[in-house]
Amino acid sequence: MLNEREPISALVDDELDDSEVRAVLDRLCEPESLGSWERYHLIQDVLHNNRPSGASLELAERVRRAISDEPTLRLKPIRIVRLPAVFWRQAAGVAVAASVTAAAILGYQHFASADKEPGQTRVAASPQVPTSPPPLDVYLVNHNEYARTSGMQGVLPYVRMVGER
Amino acid sequence: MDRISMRLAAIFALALPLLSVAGPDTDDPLVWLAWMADASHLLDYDGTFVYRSDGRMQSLRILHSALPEGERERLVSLTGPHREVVRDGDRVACIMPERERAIIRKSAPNRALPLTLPSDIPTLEQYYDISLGGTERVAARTARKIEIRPSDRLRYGRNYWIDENSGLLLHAELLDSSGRAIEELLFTDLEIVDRLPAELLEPQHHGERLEWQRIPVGESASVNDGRWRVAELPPGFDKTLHLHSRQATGEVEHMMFSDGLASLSVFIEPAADGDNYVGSSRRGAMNAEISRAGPYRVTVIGEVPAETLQQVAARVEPIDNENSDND
Repeated sequence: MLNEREPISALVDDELDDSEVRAVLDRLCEPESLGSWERYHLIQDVLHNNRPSGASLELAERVRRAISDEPTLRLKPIRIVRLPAVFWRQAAGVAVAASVTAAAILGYQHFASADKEPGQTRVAASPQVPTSPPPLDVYLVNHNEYARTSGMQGVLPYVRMVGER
Repeated sequence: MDRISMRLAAIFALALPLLSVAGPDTDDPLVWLAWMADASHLLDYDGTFVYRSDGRMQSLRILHSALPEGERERLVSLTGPHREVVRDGDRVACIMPERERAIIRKSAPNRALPLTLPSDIPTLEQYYDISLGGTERVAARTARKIEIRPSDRLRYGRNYWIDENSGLLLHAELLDSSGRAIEELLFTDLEIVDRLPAELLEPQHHGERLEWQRIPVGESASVNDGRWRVAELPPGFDKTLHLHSRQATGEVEHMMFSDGLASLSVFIEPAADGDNYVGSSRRGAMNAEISRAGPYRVTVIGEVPAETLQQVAARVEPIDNENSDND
């Protein structure tokens, strides 16, 4: 499914899970892969408006050394957690309630109507809302996430969600 | 084909100087569009804009930071109910305090390289007439107008005004078949900076006392792997994505189709007991069509006219349906 270079770009872009990272890093130890690793980093640097430095060119070599020095090292993509922990922690709590989540997705309408009390005021306060269209937020988020990457519009895909009365 | 490769070369050549301040020195509107598509992901900016649809107006603020580790973005409503969409690298959260809800999802993978446009060019030119207009002043900046007109009634027309100095979209209109703007986005203020202060990207609402809903991310399926298909697509639309995710009550399939500019999604899932809703709804230019295929619920949404969605919804069928074998 992924072509030869995609895993490397995915790694640079921090998209792989642990086992995939391992596999790509293993492949990176092959000298012929290093060129594309460097190139991707260079491109990323340039696109993010960082001047390409000598340091970035040596990155692949450093990664390779790190792997051979420490074979059991579970290299993980560096991810900086920047939002207040409390923010994402609440979100994480939901993951435990997987059955609730499934109900929320699949029986979304029921979920929403069972939980009508707080939503009711919103409907009442908004004369524009037609009789009872089912809630589409989840579909919109799923759609937006991919439309955002496949389309070429700089238009802000979430504006409709935030802007809706 | 030659013309396309030349075009590609031009667009790729643009990729590096793109980050400097000068706009493309070309009258090719596609180069401008490619520039615009990238600029919104690659720059740090803080802007206020007006969003108008269905006779309503709202003011929103967008903050975007292109950090080397990933994009951070925050979209906040300034009028009406307080809502925020916060993106932080691989996560996106929609916070709707007045509904006591928040939705969180892992982001779709960002494009490895920003220039994914070229493959869409032939389709684009077949179904849209794209031309470069004059310059106008928007948000105290000079913007170049791009006019996009569809060749049929299955997609919307657009006007884009692109900042000559940054490539950012400053003004956008979506037009119905009579040329009326059904949706409009207009920046009133836009500041482009080297690096946005991190605190500006933190949500005002931290999600306490909200009901958090996590959307599972579907796994990608190969083209032949899906159990559903759209037997006949509106002209110009191709499948760009086919995902499934397994849920407690069954499998949800998500297919996405695009003509290079507009995209639409088809969701198929087992209908819950008593879920008989069939009909349509609309949010600005985003239409939705909800129908049934046997015991399944089919939801089609997209930034295309309702008629296009109805065509698609009517042709959703299971792949193992023997009587309609697609070539």
